[in-house]
Amino acid sequence: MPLVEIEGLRVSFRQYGGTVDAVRHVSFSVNEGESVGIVGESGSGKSVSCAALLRLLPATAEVAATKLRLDGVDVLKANKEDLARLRGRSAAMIFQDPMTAFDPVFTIGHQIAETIEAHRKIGKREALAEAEQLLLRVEIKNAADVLGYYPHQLSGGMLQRAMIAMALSCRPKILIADEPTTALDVTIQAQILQLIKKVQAEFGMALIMITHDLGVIAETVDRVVVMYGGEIMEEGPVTDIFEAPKHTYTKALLASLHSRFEPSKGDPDAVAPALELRGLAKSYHTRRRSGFRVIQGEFQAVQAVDVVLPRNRIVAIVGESGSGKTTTGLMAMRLTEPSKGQILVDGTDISALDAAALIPFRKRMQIVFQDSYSALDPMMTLTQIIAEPLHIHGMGTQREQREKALKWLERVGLNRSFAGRYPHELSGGQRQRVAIARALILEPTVLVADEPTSALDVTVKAQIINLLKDLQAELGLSILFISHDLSTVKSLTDSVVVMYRGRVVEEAPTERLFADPRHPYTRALLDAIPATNPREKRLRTFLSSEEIGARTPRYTVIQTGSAPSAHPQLVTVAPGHRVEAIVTT
Amino acid sequence: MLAHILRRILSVAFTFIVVSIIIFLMMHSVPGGPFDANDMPVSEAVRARMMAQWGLDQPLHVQYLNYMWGVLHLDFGVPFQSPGETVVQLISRAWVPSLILGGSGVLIGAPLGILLGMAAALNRNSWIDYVASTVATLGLTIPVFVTSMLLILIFAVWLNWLPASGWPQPNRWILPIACYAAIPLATYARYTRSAVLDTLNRPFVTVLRAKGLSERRIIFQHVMRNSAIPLVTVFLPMFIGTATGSIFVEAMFRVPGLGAYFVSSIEVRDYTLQMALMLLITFMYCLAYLLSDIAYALLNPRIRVGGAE
Amino acid sequence: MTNLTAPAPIARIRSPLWFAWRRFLSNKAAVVGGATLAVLILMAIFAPIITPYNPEAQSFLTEALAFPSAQHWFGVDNLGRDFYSRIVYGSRVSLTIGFTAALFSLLVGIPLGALAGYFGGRTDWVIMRIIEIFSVVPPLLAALLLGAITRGGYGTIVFIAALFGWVQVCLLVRAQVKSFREKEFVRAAQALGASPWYIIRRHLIPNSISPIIIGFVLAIPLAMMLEASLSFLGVGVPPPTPTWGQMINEGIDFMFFYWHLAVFPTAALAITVLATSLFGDGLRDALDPTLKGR
Repeated sequence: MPLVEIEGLRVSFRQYGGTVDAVRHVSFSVNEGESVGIVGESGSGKSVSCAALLRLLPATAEVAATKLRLDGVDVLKANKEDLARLRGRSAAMIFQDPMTAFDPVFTIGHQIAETIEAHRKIGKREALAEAEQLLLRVEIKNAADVLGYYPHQLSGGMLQRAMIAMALSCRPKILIADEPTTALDVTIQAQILQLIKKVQAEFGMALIMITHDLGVIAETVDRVVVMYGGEIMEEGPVTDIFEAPKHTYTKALLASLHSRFEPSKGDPDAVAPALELRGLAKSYHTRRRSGFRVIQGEFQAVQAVDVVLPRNRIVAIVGESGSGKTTTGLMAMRLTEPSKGQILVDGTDISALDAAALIPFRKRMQIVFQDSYSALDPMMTLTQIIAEPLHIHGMGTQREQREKALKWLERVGLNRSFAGRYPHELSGGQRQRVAIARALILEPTVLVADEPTSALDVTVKAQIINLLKDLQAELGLSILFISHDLSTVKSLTDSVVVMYRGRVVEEAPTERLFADPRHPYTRALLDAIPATNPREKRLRTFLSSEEIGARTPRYTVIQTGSAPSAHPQLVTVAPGHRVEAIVTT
Repeated sequence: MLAHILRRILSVAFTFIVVSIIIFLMMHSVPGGPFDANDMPVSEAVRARMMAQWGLDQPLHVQYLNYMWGVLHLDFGVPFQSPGETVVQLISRAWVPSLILGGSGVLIGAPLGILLGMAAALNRNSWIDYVASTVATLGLTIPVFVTSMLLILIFAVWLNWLPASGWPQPNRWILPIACYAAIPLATYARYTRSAVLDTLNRPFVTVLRAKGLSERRIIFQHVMRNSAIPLVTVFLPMFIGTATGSIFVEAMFRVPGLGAYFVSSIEVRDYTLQMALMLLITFMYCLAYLLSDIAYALLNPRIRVGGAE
Repeated sequence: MTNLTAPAPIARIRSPLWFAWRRFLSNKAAVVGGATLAVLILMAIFAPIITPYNPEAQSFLTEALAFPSAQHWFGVDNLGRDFYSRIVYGSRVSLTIGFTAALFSLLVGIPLGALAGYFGGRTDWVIMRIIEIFSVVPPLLAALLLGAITRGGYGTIVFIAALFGWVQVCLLVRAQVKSFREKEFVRAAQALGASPWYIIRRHLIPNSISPIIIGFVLAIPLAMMLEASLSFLGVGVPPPTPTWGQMINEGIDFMFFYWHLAVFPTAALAITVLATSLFGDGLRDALDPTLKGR
């Protein structure tokens, strides 16, 4: 008998008198020890289905099913004791955002131990000892200390490990992972995925992996359920889905994984690059209180970076959160004041210009942000938003401004009938299109795109990338594309700058970087990209930050032509390929 | 943690000193000063001697420092309206009824309010939720003297169950205590409801359910503990409400407490008592501020344990 | 060119304020509160038309303390004045003080809140310290003291109410400006070269409308309560101007035998303050769902 049996599941939510179906006709089953993936975009009903299995939906949800069984128990008829046994012991869950998944006022140890105590007759002391063992098994080295930590004292990656330990504490028969890596940095994502696979094997559990990311599916599961709009589109073994998808939605999903790359034309006649950052640095004064003393410190968010964005090219800045990539982008736009360095736009340094002198340059460079929701003024209509740049610079009459805004609305792929709408009526992808229209209506030469696609669903992401690519070719734009996601970068940009802890550690043309990475951090990043094909699954090794520091490449003076120094410096190893290395004699 | 508390103490002390200066200046900005020519027709010589006797001929900052020096030694002077005793004696006599009535009001109102708020949050959109919301809105908007008036009319005038006013007999305490209890009851009902609802909506509650914890444990351990953090911040507004209410409750029910003396000190322009009472009340506020800050820090591990690694 | 633009489906275009309005309408208590307030305002405006007698004329000395009747709906007070007329005229005092004080609260609160929120840093620190001082002084006691020192009066009460009313408005506006200042559409406008003034005018003020309206409406009942409390203690608006607080104070002495002198002003005050608060709470929940319950 399968561990999980779902047949004809339907979940609807009561809203304003009516009901909205979130999930319809969903049926699938999971056997003991099996790994099943559910893939779909936000709102496809993938999380709702699994929440229904554990009866975790709010009271406004109506759940109906011809069969909804977990571990032999009819979930819909389960009483309190059955539920307590099902949750935690039959099935355990891990969630998307580990930062909010723990109760902030209790220690990690307490929260793991209370789970153990809830399911077994066992004393507090033994439960804590067992919690420590579990933390060790999820590769937390200082387990004894972590027991006494509060959630805010741990990083996201560590918390997700602790979360997994907590899920394992009652030896569940099935582990349900709901987007367990989405909120984490790329390198951490890969580690967590590998950990989940490892503990699944060790504990002999079944696994349901809920995700929007086909790469995660390819890495972790045997069988896939594809969901769209609350219904199952397709189901089958993972290799079949990847190699012979039947449904159009699945095909679209896969296509987004394999977008081809055409380098942008560039502009060989250009004398000066469109944008050049020279020794741009940002440091913040920090004041830390220690008792009554205030310790003044300096935090180097970005240490003297050099970035060149040639005319009509797309250059990526890649790094994890806290690497300084966004700060660099904001400094290039003069939205954050740099502490040091120059910003050259067409050869003119704008780093010291005052607000008035900056205005002509403001027309030439624009920015698109990650969060499309807060990027649009909620009180303005789309026409007003798109026409705002014209309005600010007093270009044309109101009628002309409106007409031009409407043209741009169409140019970014939205119907004219959207003109009078407000941002909250649009989807994330549509809002991002509006933000792009606003940024490009002045036809700037430089566009800084700060993670413009990270908050979007996979298929929408591909559309926005294509839109950017098309507009770049039409307008002869130069784009500085800031991202944490190497697979997006691969399909869009001409060259890549890798930032790590406020420094540029490697820089190369895209293809060369992917083919021949030299810096250990770049390698770690590349290694963390999930496979695009289930046949490419492999075991990975991960470097700690100390190991990354220790493995900084070493070159001789003869190899690089640079002066020797004990400190790491950027050296040229091939045309256009620079890497941070220690130069020895 | 200790440093955090000490810093708060310094900050609150600074606020207290600023407020005391403002109050002091306000008192001295009254046209004519305490010995106004219209209110006290005495000869110039007598006035001058009185001014000298009270130290009123000295520069303002000296007067202020002298006064505060006295305050530090619990010497607030002699009340005009009752020259036979010192201000401290008067206050220590008058604050007993205020404390008994106000204290019992808070002790009864606050727990009831918390229970009501919790019941409302756990049974959202049920009749108890509506009752709680109504009680909270009424208690927070209707002035205390209106509540007192209604209670007197209903229970003393119409039903004739309880005496309308007076002090020493305990059966005369019931109505004023009920009036005092209205404010903490309403405040805590409203804030507990919203705090518990906020907590219930946080993702970790789903995680706790998914772990298979019993609903009772989730509510009484996790939800309560988290909701308690915002509830601490309610302490101060509730305190303000109760202390302010004392003026009206004591006037309505003719209770010889601090509030009643505050009103009479204003009526007879008893500056020494006014100053003393204002300073005392401000001081209690500062203390309430400090206590809610400390409790907040103790309940919140982010402050108690400090930053991330 | 105009005929080329497809006719937009008008019904589907809904501004955020439209949704706020819908949320407001679905809140029955708030709608009732708003309607009651509207009726009260009309009553105050048309007081001379809807009252049969002069509120200050002691025309019925022979009938003093008479109970409610067809001729005197709310009875006659101890000085022979028609009590219904006095209650209606009392709403004028209550409402005008409520609205003017709320207006002055906005005049002080909006600029200070916007300054603190927009510039942050030292400006914010100074303004927050000032607010802290106001928060440790109990408003009613200070008002009582101020009222006694200045010997009451209309202007003084408005001044005192505004003095303690601006804090709330300031905090609301500050929070809103502070959070919107960091929003990316403000960043985008900066990237386009917009001046701070342009950003405040075109983005921050329209987006602060909600807290401003909320602050205004919630300041009204506070001011009305303050007026009633001061009048009740005899340091408010001086007689013979009819005010509810003063009537309640007088009513206490008569309540054992002439209940109407206590009940009507108490009820009038309670209904007005309650209606305004319900209306304000409803507006707050409708305009800013995130502020709910605060």
